[in-house]
Amino acid sequence: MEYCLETDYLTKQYRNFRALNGLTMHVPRGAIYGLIGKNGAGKTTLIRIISGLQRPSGGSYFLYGEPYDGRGIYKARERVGGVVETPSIYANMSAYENLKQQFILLGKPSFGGIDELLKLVRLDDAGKKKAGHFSLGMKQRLGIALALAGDPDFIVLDEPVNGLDPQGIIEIRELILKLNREKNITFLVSSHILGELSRIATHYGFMHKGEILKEISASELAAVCRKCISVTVTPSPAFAPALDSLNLEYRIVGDDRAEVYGDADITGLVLALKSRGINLLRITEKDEDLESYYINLIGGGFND
Amino acid sequence: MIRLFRSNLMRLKKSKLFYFMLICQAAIMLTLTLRYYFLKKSGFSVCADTLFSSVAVSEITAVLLAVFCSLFIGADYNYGTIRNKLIAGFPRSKIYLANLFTMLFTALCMNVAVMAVFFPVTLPLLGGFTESARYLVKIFVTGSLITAVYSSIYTAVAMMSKNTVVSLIVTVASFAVMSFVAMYLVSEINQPLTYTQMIENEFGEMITQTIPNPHRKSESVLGFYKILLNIFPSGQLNVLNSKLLSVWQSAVSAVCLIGISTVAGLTVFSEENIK
Repeated sequence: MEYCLETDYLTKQYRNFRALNGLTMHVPRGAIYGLIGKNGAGKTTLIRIISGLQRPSGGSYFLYGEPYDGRGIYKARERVGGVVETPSIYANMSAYENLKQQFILLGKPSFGGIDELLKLVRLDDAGKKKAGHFSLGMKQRLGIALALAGDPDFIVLDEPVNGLDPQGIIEIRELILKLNREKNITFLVSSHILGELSRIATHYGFMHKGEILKEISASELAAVCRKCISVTVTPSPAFAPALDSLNLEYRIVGDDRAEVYGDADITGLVLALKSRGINLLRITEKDEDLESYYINLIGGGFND
Repeated sequence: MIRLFRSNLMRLKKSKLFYFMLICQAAIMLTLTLRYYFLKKSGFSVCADTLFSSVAVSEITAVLLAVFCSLFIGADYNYGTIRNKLIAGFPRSKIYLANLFTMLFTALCMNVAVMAVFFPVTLPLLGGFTESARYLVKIFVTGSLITAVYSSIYTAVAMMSKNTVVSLIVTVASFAVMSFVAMYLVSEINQPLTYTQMIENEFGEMITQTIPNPHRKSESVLGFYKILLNIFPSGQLNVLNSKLLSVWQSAVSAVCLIGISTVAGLTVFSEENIK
């Protein structure tokens, strides 16, 4: 698999505080990678480091295969756009002027693409209004437009829906999905609003205390989190044939346990097991979502 | 770096403070010119030469530059737009140098604003120069170097402090401290060798007596003070009109000070954690 970003045992130490603690992650090309972690998990520190705002204290990272301290990193960064924490915009300039400024910075030969970008982020009617007077959602969208100015392949967004109203959240979500689908732009989106991330992410990285605890694709997560009943029995070789006889979709988890998907006929299941001399010890319903998966992973409350 | 510089120039073009500074410079020159003109009309002997040093540099130019550097560079930190430059892949050295060149350009524009009044207004009103062209060129070159040194120091402070208010306080305070030190050095250097006092002799008559000045420093200390005065921009500013200042000495010290402040600023900025 090709990766936009790989980190290898990344650490960041601020005096007495270790913000990143041997973090290893992989962002595949074309993915919307949801970086999940509670406040203080180290998400913003990680994003600052990969955006070149800070240097790691240890470990390394690679952008498009280029090591962060190598000569090719500046070229690789030209393929990256980002909004770190708050959108970086000149408050005394209009949306058009901010983009013009960014176009000059990026060495664009003309300002022809500005109107198209403004239209894309739905700021084409902002006119000469100064960015300082924009709503938070408008600022966020302008920040994304600035990140898009260099035609990047990879965009890093740090908490993009923080502080937005429901309409703003929907707009940002739709914009990310649109850019990912239509322009095949890879996104790394950090958030602690799991419900929002679960609507867009194709891959997840679960972060806790400066480490990535688990990386998982959305399809793998869906399989893990699928609603099922967990059946625990006395160990028996006839366990699987008994489930087969009922035409159930199931997954054997151990000698004595299976997860049964779909709407199973519990009475039929009990009778089928009994007829094969298998004792049913326990039956529980399992209905895990992204949040409970994460909480199970970190072994505690979310924003405690 | 050209792209960074162009982007800074675009901001400069939109900066109200920048135009305000240019107007200030021109207005000060115009006010001085009119004041000198009325003095001349009242019979005082005045010439354009004295005002010419204002073309080169003045304390007001230095203070305005301090304010402008802090606000212009600080805005990049305040708005977070410095992140755009770093994310776009610009090395920190280029970002720093582009800001330095922008400040040098600003200083140049401020000098041009004064000249824009001096040549068409001051010269015709006060008459031509009395000094040689060589001396006037020296004044202009030295003045430009002093402004460049101030710009370089203020850029370093603004890039290191990462905060508009802090850099504003530090740059203006550093100007005040440098000016105070220069004034102190000038007053020490100008201490008379002797002074006279009136004493009463044995006949009860008052006589004057010349005695050595106890406050005057030794020649070696004064020599050191003179070197300091010629090195620092505030000192050079103080002695700009005196014929003691060597343009070469000024150039060497300017290059050294610009080099030191740039290396210091760049070293700190390269290691800074940007938020």
